[in-house]
Amino acid sequence: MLKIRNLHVAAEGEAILKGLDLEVAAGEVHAIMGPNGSGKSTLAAVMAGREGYEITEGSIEFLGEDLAGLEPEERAWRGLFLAFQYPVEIPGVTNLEFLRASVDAHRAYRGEEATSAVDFMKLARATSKQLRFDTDFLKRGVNEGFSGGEKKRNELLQMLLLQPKLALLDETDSGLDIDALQIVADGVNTLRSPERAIVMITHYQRLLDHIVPDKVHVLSGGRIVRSGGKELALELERKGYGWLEEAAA
Amino acid sequence: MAVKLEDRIEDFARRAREQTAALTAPSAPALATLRQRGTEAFATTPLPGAKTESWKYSRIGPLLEQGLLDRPREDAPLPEVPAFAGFEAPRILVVDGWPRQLPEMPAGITITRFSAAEGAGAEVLSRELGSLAYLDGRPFVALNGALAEDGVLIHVAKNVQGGELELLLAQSLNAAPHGAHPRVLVVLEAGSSLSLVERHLGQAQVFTNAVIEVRIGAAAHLAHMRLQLEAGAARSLTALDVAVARDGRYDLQQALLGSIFRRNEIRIHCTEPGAEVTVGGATLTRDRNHLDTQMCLEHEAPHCTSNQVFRALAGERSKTVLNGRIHIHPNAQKTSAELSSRNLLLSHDAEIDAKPELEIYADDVKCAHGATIGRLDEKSLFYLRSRGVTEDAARLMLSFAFLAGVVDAFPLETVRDAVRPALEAAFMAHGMAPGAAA
Amino acid sequence: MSETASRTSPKGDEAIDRHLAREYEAGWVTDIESDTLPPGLDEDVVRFISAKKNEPEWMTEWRLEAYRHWLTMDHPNWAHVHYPKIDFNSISYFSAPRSQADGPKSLDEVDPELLRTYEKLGIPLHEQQMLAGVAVDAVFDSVSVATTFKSKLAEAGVIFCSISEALQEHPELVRQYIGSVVPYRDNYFAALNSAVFSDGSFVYIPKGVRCPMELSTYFRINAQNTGQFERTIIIAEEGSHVSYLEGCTAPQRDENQLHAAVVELVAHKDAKIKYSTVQNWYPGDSEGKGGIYNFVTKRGLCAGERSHISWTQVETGSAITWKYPSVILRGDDSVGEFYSVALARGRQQADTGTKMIHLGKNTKSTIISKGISAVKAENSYRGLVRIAPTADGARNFTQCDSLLIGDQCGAHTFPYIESRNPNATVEHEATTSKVSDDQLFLCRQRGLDPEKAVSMIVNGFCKEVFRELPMEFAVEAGKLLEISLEGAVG
Repeated sequence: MLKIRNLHVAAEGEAILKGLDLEVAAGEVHAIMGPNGSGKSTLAAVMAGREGYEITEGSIEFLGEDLAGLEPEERAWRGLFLAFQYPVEIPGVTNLEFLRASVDAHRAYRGEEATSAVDFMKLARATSKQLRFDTDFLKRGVNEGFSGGEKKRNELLQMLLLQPKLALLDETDSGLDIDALQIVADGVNTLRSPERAIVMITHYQRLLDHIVPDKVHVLSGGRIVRSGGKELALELERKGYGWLEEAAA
Repeated sequence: MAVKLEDRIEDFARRAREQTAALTAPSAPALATLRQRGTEAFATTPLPGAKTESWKYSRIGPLLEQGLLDRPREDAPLPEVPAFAGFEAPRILVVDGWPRQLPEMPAGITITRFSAAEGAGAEVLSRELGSLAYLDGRPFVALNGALAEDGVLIHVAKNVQGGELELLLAQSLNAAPHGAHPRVLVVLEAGSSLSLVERHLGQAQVFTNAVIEVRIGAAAHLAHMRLQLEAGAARSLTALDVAVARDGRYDLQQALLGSIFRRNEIRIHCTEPGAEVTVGGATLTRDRNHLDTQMCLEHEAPHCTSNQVFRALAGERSKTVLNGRIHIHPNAQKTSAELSSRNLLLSHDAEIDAKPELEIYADDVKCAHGATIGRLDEKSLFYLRSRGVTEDAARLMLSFAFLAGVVDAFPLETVRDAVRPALEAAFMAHGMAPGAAA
Repeated sequence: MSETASRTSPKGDEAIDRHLAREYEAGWVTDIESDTLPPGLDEDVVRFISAKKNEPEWMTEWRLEAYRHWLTMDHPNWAHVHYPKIDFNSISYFSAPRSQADGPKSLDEVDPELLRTYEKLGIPLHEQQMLAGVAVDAVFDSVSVATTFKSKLAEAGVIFCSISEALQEHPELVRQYIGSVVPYRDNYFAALNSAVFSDGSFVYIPKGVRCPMELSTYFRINAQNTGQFERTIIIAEEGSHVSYLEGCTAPQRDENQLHAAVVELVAHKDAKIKYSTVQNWYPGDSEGKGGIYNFVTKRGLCAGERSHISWTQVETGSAITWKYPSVILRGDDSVGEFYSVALARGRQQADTGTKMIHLGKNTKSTIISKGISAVKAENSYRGLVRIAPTADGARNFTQCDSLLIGDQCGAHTFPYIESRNPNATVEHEATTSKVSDDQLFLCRQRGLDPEKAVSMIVNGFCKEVFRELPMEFAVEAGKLLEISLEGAVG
């Protein structure tokens, strides 16, 4: 599903990713771990097509298509979803209208009819209930005045409604208390299926207790320096990142 | 018989032109140029009339009275300068516009009369004098240039830390009404610094029309404290034009009382990236005072910040005006500019006019202003009274607390310590307490 | 010449509303069909207009006084707008509607760009024809339906007619109120309007009556080289309520056209007037050629205790807008409101805002202004809040936000705050922001294209104002913004 080959990325003239390789197949859950500044969030941003990042070498292939020539919304329509580390507020735009516009944009791409207001409302209500939002939540402005935990759960809500093929979770566990973490993890787990892949980017191991990955990669100095099974995460938890950075150097 | 305002203005302009013509040309070239340019500009710049937007809330009347254009005497008796608790910096004394006493300064700091400037000082003058206080549409700046008897240059050389300095703009003991046109140029070269305390003294019926130009070089820092703490019959008009270069810092803190006519026109230009400006103003007007602050921040370069805080109390029959303009030029991206103006009206006969303006031509900026005019917070008042403080005392306490935040921002402790009692004394003066005014 | 189509619509009944939308009302323009004056303005022109409308003598005299006063006034130059000097003698002040032979004969002859806009607004075909200046007979067919509503209004005692008609049928009411809120001396354009006003609406709601339906008027400017000078008066007697909607549009012309209207509202004790405008006059092309000069004086008087006047406006059109719907809060405990969205794009210039003049005790005013500037437009908020010494306990709150789209436009805020009462509170806040890269990226990551994303963000920015609009107008306003923003996103 996802093939990243020898990816080099620079931002403001500075090289951040320096030859990253990664393959994710449908049905798999991967975790990418690494210390601060290792390039984790850059990887997420460049995959989603954020401006300000330059691919200087290598490629990202998603479902057999090179992403480089695609606009952010075109990547989204093809099933790529990024759960943001810091979701931005959009004052005055209600969650409901935002969600519906977004779902309808995806449907239009697939040549499907727009949703009916009633059906969408039902779906949105059910999904927000699953994430333990009260009903008022859909009427509030997008992330407007939300707590950190609410913002992260809101990302999940969008993900569950859009049903992406590849979900990228950028530090989705940061700022969550244990209850919220459980809600988020349950949500992600419902999305696991043989047709989908999930890539979690995280600094800490604790998310992986709740969403158990098939594979764990360690990103350091702009490259994957080590890959393994879920036990690698536990090893990192014990030893920290230092030993790997030294090994990589 | 009442004379029409237009006729009085025309009469004033005519007398002023006659006076400029009567002056003999000075020998110092910088001063001669200043006079000539001022004279020419004044001749073609109309005085503010009833429809002049920037004079909407200032009536020019008090400046037009007979005698206020009379030439100041160079040898008029010097005033007694009231002591300033704990503050002992070198002092520049300008009396009726004449520089009368200049301090000896260590190497790297030049303080000289325009008329006596030579060598490097003369060079700075010819380069900078009049370069900031532009003349277009500003008849009184032009008049200052035309009638300036002399002026003072303060120059701090590159990377010199200039310490503290006092600039006194005072009236003489010459009791007859007359005019005075003080002119000051402050130049801080790159990397230098200075703390300048500017005090205005005198309550007689004198028209003081001052112009101060300040150029702050790259990474230089000027802490400027302005004290106008004497009221009375002084007609005071001061233009302050400042330019701040790359990574320069300008901090202007003001404690102001009104007078029969006081107007401060301040224009600060952030000309290069990284310039940082803070402005504070604590003002208090009473009696029939008039105090008009015309503030303009020109953001001409990207990545500059400005932060302005004004607090005003107006009691009795006084009038306080603040026009706070923030102008973001095209390309001044990443500017952060804020202005806060909070005002308390203390009497039914007082007036406060606030006009915070934003003029923005760049999109990636953070600009905000807020202005409030109101009354004391009833809850706080009740709280104090419930603790046994009398209502009048509680009102006084809260009103003064309102100004305290700005006073606390004065960077020199000695100046803070002198400002507080001065404001308090003015505040306690007869009729100021709101209870008494009701 | 102006053509003013009035309609009435029951609240919430969209089908009827659609049907009735922008119907012509009989008798509005018929008398004057064949008369056209050459360009130019003098006392004879003023007399001619008055005579054509068969006005009472006092009206003619008032017009003449206004004209004479206008001659002594200077063209105002304080607004933050720039345009070449207007030659008032090049304008025709009286002209019959263009004959059908001159106008486009079918939609095929109309600029497709304009039609595309109408389509997006969801305007039905016959309406599109009308708006585009195609004369359509069919719209006259439904006059009887309109009359049905007229009789329903009449039952309630509501007068809703053209001001020409009111001058014939209710001259005493017009005489009592015309110029009472906006005297002809008020300003240059009000004086001009007073001298030459062509038509407009007159509304009178009697004591205790809650107007049974929303009243609305659509204005359009059609002919070339004409100015439009309509005059609207709305009187709400004690305890009455009325909601009035006004829509404006104009066909595309290369020349600038002048629109100088005057609106006067009077709310007596316990009365409430809600006045909503969606203004979409032709703004000129992307180079600034053509477009309407919209110089309008709108003012309401809260005459009685607890009276309430609310202005809501969505301004997306006109080359130049100069407009400050204001409220004089004279009655104790009266309330004034101003909710505004002003969008300027291309080379548009808008200088708009409000004045809240607090005279009565415990008067309250709220100002919410949302300004959007895009491309090379100049958008200014200009507002005055004045608290008189008599206004004990008065309160004002002002929130003034600007949104910039692109780095070559301007967004400006010029508030005047004047207080002379120590027991009043005034609060003013202004902020400036842009559509942030982060917001745009989030929307795009969720599948929205950039134009849709920007229009959604801008709509969100305006929400506080849109929710003050009647439902049908709110939808139209949202769509208008969307269309206006097309191509504004780089």
